[in-house]
Amino acid sequence: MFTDRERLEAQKIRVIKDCLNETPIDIEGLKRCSVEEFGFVNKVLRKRIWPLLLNIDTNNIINHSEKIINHKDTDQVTKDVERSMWRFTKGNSQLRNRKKPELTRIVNAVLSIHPQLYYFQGYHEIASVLLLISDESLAFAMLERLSIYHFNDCMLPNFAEVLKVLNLIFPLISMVDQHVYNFIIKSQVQPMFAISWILTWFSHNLDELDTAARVYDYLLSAHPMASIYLSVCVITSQRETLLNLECSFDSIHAFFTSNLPELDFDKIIKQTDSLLEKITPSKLQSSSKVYLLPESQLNRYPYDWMIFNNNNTTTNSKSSKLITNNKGTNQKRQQIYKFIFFILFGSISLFGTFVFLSIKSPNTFKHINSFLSPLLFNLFNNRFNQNNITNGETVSNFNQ
Amino acid sequence: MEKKKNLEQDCIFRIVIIGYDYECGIKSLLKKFTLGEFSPFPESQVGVDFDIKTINVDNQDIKLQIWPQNKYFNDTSDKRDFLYKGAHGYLLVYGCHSQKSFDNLLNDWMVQIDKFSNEFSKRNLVLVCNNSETPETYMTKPNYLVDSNITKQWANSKNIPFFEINPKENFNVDEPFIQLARLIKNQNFINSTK
Repeated sequence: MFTDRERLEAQKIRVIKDCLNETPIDIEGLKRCSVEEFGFVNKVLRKRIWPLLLNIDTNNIINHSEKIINHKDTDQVTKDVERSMWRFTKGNSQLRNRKKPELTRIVNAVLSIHPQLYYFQGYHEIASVLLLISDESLAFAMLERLSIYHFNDCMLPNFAEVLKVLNLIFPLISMVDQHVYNFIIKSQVQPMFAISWILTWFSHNLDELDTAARVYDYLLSAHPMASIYLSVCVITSQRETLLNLECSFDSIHAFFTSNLPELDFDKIIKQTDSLLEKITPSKLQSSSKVYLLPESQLNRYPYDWMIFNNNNTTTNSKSSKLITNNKGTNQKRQQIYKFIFFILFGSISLFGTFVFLSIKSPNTFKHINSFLSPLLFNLFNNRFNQNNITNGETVSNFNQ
Repeated sequence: MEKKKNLEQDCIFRIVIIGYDYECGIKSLLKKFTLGEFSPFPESQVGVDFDIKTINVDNQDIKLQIWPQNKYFNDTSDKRDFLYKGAHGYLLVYGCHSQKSFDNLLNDWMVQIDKFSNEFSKRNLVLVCNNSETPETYMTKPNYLVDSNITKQWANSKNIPFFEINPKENFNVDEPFIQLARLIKNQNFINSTK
């Protein structure tokens, strides 16, 4: 009756709901789910989970419309929104027309509240994914959070930091696939073909909203530099096609800048997560000699608003600093504590039981006493033997 | 014979299209030239991309690598060097409904080209007036229609070929590219990117 895929999805949904039903919610479990097949599966779950990953206090989101002023990029935002959301709303002009004003508002609101952020083209693509998956209010709160942290380096006065990020891609490829790396270097292609991947988390390059959302499941859960690792795995996953191309700048650049083919992102995301675990962002920077600014938000992960357990703290609260880096240590300590607890509890229980029974049940005590009788008998026999030896000596003395 | 064939295959011209943001219809122009399609609502550009088109100039096939100018290039100096020093010629585009876009060419871009380009490519310029009445241009508030006579005079004084085009009506779209390629070719400046 159900297809294999539907059964697997249902099973995944159960795992996700188990994490959500934990008290407090199991954020780490959810992040692990983002790596596994199907990610967060559907729009309803994503609308619930994405704000949790960014620790959005959904009961205290400001009214963003009130904050909108005429900022430095208002005109450009208007133009970009006007020609946006064609791919994700194709065939549904009503949805597109309804969402465009919402998209304009949330983008302008973030840029109005945070004048230090510089708009870049592609920013509205991030916002449109958040908006189409959740609602206007949630999308604003999530976009604001991402803009200040994950995408902060893309929103500086110039693209110098973005260039550094791009320049990390080829060194990382050399650690993954030497053939692909040699081919790419020989062609003299520049890593700028990947800039829209980094700037929009691939949403500009994917045709289906579901696929873009699947990618966002992972990138919202992972290190903010995960998009670099994902880019590398996207490149190496197409190695067969790539190595058959003419080895030239324009053919390789054109190959990667056209819309991505249908890729198995579940598989690629698993590869990405393994790679990220194996080669940390700091290790990547030191080995490739490409260093982001020390104050870069990409170097400050995990952020102070991230918590291991969601205690419903407000957005600005820093009272809970149980950051994810301590999770391993906490787990070990918990295990040790559990072990000690079981030993002590067991001992105390046994002792208590013994004392209780010996007081309340004299019969049981007798039973124990009878158990000890054979031992007493053996002791008695030993003493008898000693007496015999004494008697022997007396007889010898008489004969003498 | 084989040598000539290789020469033809290696003949790649890198052209940079320059214009003021989206008030010139550069994206529509490029799409019409490379794909033969006209789209009034081309998707906004994210990052860096170029188009490739092979054209025939005086019985020789030439591959054009066409780069629209981009914030990314302007903001990072080594990428700016890549763009300008690697370019063989420039197509300067303005919209007939936007005086601002024409002024922007004169005041900003010509200075940039003169400052950063190499000796050869800065001479290979073609001026293009986009006459498409597309929603792109309607979305802005034009100061007034650009006087094409003034434009022609300015272009003549600079010895720059001038074309009026209309991608929507498929008028004169190829000619500016062909003329620019001819200028580059006549300079005997043929570069191999291999």
